[in-house]
Amino acid sequence: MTGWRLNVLITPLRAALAAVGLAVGVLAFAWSGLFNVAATTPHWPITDWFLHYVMINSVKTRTLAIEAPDTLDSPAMIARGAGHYASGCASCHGAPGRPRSPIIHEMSPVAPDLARTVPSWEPKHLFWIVKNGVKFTGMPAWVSGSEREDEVWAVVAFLKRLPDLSEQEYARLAMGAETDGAVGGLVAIAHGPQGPAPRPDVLADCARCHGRDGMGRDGDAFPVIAGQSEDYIYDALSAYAVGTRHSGVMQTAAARIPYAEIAALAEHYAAQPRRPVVPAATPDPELVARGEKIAREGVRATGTPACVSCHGPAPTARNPAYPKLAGQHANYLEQQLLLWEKEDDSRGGGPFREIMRKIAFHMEKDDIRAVAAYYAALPPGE
Amino acid sequence: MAIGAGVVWCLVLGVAVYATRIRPDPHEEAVGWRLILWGGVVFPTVVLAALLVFGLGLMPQLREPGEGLRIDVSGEQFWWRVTYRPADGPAVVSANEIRVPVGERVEFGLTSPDVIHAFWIPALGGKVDMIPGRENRLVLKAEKPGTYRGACTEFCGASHALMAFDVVAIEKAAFSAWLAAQATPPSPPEGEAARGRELFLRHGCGACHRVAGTEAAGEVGPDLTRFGARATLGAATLANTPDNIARFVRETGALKPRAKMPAYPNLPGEELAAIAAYLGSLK
Repeated sequence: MTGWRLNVLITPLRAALAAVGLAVGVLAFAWSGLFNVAATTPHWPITDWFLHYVMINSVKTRTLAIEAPDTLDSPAMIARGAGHYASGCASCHGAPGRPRSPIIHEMSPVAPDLARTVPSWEPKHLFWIVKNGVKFTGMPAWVSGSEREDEVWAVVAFLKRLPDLSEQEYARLAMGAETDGAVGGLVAIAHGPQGPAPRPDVLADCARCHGRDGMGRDGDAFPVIAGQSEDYIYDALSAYAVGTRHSGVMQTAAARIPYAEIAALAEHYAAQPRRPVVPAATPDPELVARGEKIAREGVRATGTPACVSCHGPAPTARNPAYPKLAGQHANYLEQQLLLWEKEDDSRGGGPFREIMRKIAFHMEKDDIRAVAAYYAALPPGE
Repeated sequence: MAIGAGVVWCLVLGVAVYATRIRPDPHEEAVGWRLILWGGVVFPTVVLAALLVFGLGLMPQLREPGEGLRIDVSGEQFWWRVTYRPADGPAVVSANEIRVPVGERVEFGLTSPDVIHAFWIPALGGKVDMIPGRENRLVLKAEKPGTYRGACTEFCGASHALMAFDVVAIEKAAFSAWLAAQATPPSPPEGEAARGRELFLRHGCGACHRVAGTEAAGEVGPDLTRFGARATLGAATLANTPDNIARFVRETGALKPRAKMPAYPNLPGEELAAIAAYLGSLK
C-alpha cells in the first residue's frame, strides 16, 4: 500500500472543536465581506435550480387544503383584480402594452413576466403566492391578507385572464374610463360648493374603479360611493389610510392619497347623485321582503337590531357617520357583513365600527343575504 | 330556628360530656343494642316521616296558581326582560326591576331564549332555573313592603355575576295605580333631556331599545320606557345616576363584559350628558 492514509480517532471533544472551528470559519468569511451580494452576479445555475425547487415544492405542499371559489370567471371579480393589478403588480410584472422596465431586469431574481408564467400555476398556487409573498425574492405578501382573502382571489381571477388579454382590454379593465391611472391633467367634474375640488390626479386614481361619478363599473365589481354620507367616506378613507380598516386594495389606494385630499374626495363623492344600480340578477321578491322585515324590526333571536334605526330609511336624521345603504350592490353589503364572521376585528373600519362588529357577528348568513337584497333593491334616495 | 339550633347544640354537648366525663366506662352489650335500635332506627324514622308528611302537605300550596297577576321574566345575556300580565288590562313591558304587590301571591313565568339562567329572590323563595325551550312557574308572596335583591344563580356567561335585579314590593293599591299608569307613555322631555332624545334616536339607540311613545321600538335590549324610575342600571350593577349612565354608554364592555350592547366611546361628553338626562327623565 502506497499513498497517504490518515488515521483520526473522532472523540466528542474533537467533534465539538471541529464544529466550533467551522462556525468560526463561516463567521470569519461573513465578517470579511468577501461574499458578493451584488445583484449583478447571478446565482450559480445549481443554486438557482435549488431555490426554485424549494419554492415550487413549498407552494404545492402548502396549497393542498385550499379550494378555489367558483367565481373566478365572473367579470366583476376580474375587473376588481385588474384595478389593483395596475397599481400594485404591473410596475414589476408588466402588463399588456406596458412591458417591464429595464430596472426590473436588473433584479435578482428578476420579477417574472406573469403573462408568460401564470399558465404554469393552478389558481390555488397563485392565490397562495399572492397572499403570502415569497421570501428572498422581493415578492411582498398581500396587505391584510389573512383578513381579505376575497381580494386575493379577485387578483387570481384577473391573472387567469392575463395571458390572453389585449392591450385595449387591459386598459379598459384596469383604468376604466380614465386614459391613464395616476397621471393628472384631467379636470374634476361636479363637486360641492364649499371645499376645494380634489386634485385631478388623485381623483383620477379613484375614478379608475369608482368612476368620477362614484357609481363604479363592470356590474357590481365596485361599491357605489356616489351620494354616500361625507362623514362616512372621510372616516372610511382615513381608516384605510392608517390601516384600521382592512383591504389590500383600498389600504394601498388610500395610502397614496395626500392627507389633505381625503376631505376633498369625501366632499366630491358625497355630492354626486346616487343612481339606481342594475342588479346582477333579478332580486328574489321573497328574499327582499324578508330582508325588509329584518331591516325594520330586527331579529330578537340573534340580537339583531332593526337596521333602519341607524341606516334608514327613517323619519328623523341619523348620525352621518353611519353609512347609507339604499341602492348599494347586494354582493358588497353581504361581503362586508361576512367579513365580521370572525369575532376579532377582521373587517376593521372607522371609529364607529365596534357597533356594527357586535351586530354582524351574531347575524345568520341567510339574514345577511336578505338584508343585503333589501337595501340593494331600495331606491337610492331613501 | 335559633332556639331549635340551641337545643340541639346543648343536647349533643350534653351527651358528649356524659359519655366522656360522667360515665366513661363501657355499656353492657344489651344496652348498646337498645340504644342503636331506639336512637338510631326508630327515632329518625318517626321524625323524618313526620317532616315528610308535613312537607308534602305544603306542596299543593306552592303549586297553586297566583291570585291574578302574572309576571313573565325572561333571562337574557345579561339582563331581565319583565312582562307584567295583569288579569285585566294590557301587558306592560319593563326590564331589570320587578314590582310586586304586598300580600298577593304573584305567579312568575320563567323562560330564557338561549342559555340557562336561574331566578332567585332569596328573601322570598327558592331558586328556579330558566331553561331555553320551556317555561317554569314559580309563585311568590312578599309579606312586607321593601326592596329585595334577586340574582341570576346559574352561570350564564362572562357577566353572570353582573346580572341582578331589584324586587320592589309596594302596597296593593299603590301597585294597581302604578300598573295602570304604565299604559300612558312618559311625558315628553324638555330642555337638555329633549336634546338627549334627539341624540338617542340619531345615534340609533332605538334599534335595540324601546321607549314607548317614540319611534324607538327595538326589542333586542332592555325596554327603557320608565328607565328613570329604576334605582339601578345595567341589571342592578350600578346606581342609576347621570354619571353612571354616561359611563355605561361610553364603556359598556368594561362594565359588562361580553354584553351585546356596543360601547360608544366616540360620543362627545356633552352628548352623553344629554342622553343621560333624557334617560333619567323617563319616569
